[in-house]
Amino acid sequence: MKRLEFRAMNCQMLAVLDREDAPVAEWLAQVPLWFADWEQRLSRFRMDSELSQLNRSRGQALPVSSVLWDVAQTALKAADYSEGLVTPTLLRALEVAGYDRSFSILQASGQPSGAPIHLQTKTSTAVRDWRTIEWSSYPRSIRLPLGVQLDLGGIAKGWAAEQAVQQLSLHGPALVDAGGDIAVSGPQADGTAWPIGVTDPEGKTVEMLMLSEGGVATSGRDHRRWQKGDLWQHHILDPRTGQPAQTDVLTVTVIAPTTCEAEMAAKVVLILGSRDGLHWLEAHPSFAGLLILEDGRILCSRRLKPYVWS
Amino acid sequence: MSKSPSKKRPSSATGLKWFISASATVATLIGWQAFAAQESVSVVAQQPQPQPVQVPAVQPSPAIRQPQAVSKASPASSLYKQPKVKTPVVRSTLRHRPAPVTTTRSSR
Repeated sequence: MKRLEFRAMNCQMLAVLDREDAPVAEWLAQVPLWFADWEQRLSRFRMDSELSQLNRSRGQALPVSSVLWDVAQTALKAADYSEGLVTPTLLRALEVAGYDRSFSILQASGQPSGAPIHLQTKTSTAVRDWRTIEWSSYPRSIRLPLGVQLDLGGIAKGWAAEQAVQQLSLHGPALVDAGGDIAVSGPQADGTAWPIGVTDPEGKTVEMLMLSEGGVATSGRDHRRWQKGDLWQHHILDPRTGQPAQTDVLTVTVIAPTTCEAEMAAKVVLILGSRDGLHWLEAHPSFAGLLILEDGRILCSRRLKPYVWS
Repeated sequence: MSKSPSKKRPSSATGLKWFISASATVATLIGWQAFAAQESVSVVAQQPQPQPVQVPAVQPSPAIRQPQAVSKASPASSLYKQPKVKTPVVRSTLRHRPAPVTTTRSSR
């Protein structure tokens, strides 16, 4: 088993190929290049990215690459599935909340700038907007209505993990971890599941999940947060209020058939809180989840048990 | 009437001898007691430490070693009891918690 760690998309990445042959290192070395290409297309923090160009298109249809097309489609499907709880159209609200530059820069510069705003008004517009986005399949183009901008954030990481693991799997059993959003191609070479730890905010492993297929993702308000005035903000916005989600859940880990679905489901549960979030998980048979609450309790959905190492 | 020989009183020298002799006897007795006491202490001190009892391993006779060869009707069979040996449970595979390949966490 060979591993390669690198940074991309402002996150720590890991690519694993469960083979010992000499060319494995060469194959793994390709992965950071793929991520660099995807980041250049999908980052909202790069003014020259394809996404930034789309966000500046001022209501005009813009031809887009297959990468941006796929990720945007995935993000809009997530919005449909979650009935708008996870939507890519919260960019303006995120910027207003202070998340107006990459998190590494936020950390370096202290508190982000941002004038006091009326989040409620602006965000309610954003929530309505995801269905107003127009796209054409041939040639591929997207038209954002005026005032609508996209943030593909977590979905982009999940999508990248899926794409990378799919390409690596041509050479053998593979796992790709994109900042906590993890995709596996299938079981390990010996037929066993991949052991994946779930950590609490202090970094202590609280559970060991065994994953043979699909993906797992964690969403949390334990790390990417900042202070604005007297209030702590975090990057998981509740589209119903336009403000950082007020929830008793600190982190949510979800196992799903795909990493993007896991990413979406984890955000839904985080926003809904422990009671409604667990009900939502139980109502969706494709998902299994683990919640770490603010008071330290750990709750699991009923379908998690087959995935827990014992 | 003839005068019976009068009993001769012991002289003071004789009494002294008697006293010395008696004292010597007493001293000897005391000395023996002390010696005996010393002996008893030393005996205790020199008692050999109890040694673990070496129980020789029971080697059943060939006939007993193969109890199946003995007829159940034989009185010898009632004498032989198969020792109850607890067989340790051995798992076919060790169940160590595996080290995680990676961990899932909120974006870092």
